[in-house]
Amino acid sequence: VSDALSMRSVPVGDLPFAAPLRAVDEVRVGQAADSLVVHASKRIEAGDPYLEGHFPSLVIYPGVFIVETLRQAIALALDGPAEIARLRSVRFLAPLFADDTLTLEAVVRQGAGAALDVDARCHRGDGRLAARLRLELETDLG
Amino acid sequence: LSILLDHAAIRSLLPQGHPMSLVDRIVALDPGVSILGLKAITGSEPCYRRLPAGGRREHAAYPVSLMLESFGQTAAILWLGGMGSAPVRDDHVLMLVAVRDCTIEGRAFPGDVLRHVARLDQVVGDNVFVEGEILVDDRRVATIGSMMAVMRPRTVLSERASAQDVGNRPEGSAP
Repeated sequence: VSDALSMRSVPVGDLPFAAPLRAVDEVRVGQAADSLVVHASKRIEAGDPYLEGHFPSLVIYPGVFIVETLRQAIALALDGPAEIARLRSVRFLAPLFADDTLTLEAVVRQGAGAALDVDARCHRGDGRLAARLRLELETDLG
Repeated sequence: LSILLDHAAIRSLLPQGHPMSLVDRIVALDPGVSILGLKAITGSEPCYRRLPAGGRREHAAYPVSLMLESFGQTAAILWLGGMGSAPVRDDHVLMLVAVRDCTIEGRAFPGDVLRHVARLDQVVGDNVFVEGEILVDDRRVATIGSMMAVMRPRTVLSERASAQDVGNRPEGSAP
């Protein structure tokens, strides 16, 4: 469905909020009828912050950092606050190693109040599904 | 509360290294049942390195990703405690495989101490299911409905890892 959308690139500059690492290399966003479609990618570098400890003898991109990639991609796509409010269901299906590239496709819909409902899939460079995520983001952080 | 496991003991128990070692102390442990772990947040952690000056208060909130990782590591110690505190062997890794119904109810900031209360829900083979909550003082900042982790030998992770070890690693990418 998203292939038919016109996707525009979003500048990936400095993040305004605390983050373990810059978890996206590029972000693209498209407007569908009732949702926002966000695509992002991130190449896993052995020298990325925190990865020297995960793990000291084998670099694996931590599952929680895939959640971080999703959060950052959407915050950049919205150009505004987007904080994780609820993880409904997250499954990590294949590990990401150094030099792997993660690609993310997320569909963002308005939920209750200021919440956004997010449904996302992450793939590894070899096409394997690496993660499936359903979560809620809060946009009103007052 | 007494210190049941100090940071040095935790470091020898879990495979995560600095700065991904996100539990400072274990202060209560009922093996196979529940655990209470502490994690002090400080502004000198790497996640605050690039935080711009002059931002809003909530921009300095401790990242939810690290908060969950810290809880997961505490839960891993509970699991290991139930196994007689055998450390995760060097040829094994602990991996988070699923999270369900986890609600973030508050934020934590530098100076706060996270109190991770984890309860063992179920163990099926190498899979462990835990639930619990994360508190700051007496304020609950997260409820963890279910978190599932698995211990896997490094060798079964993927043939791709060993293929990478053979070579093809770009200059400057080594840790």
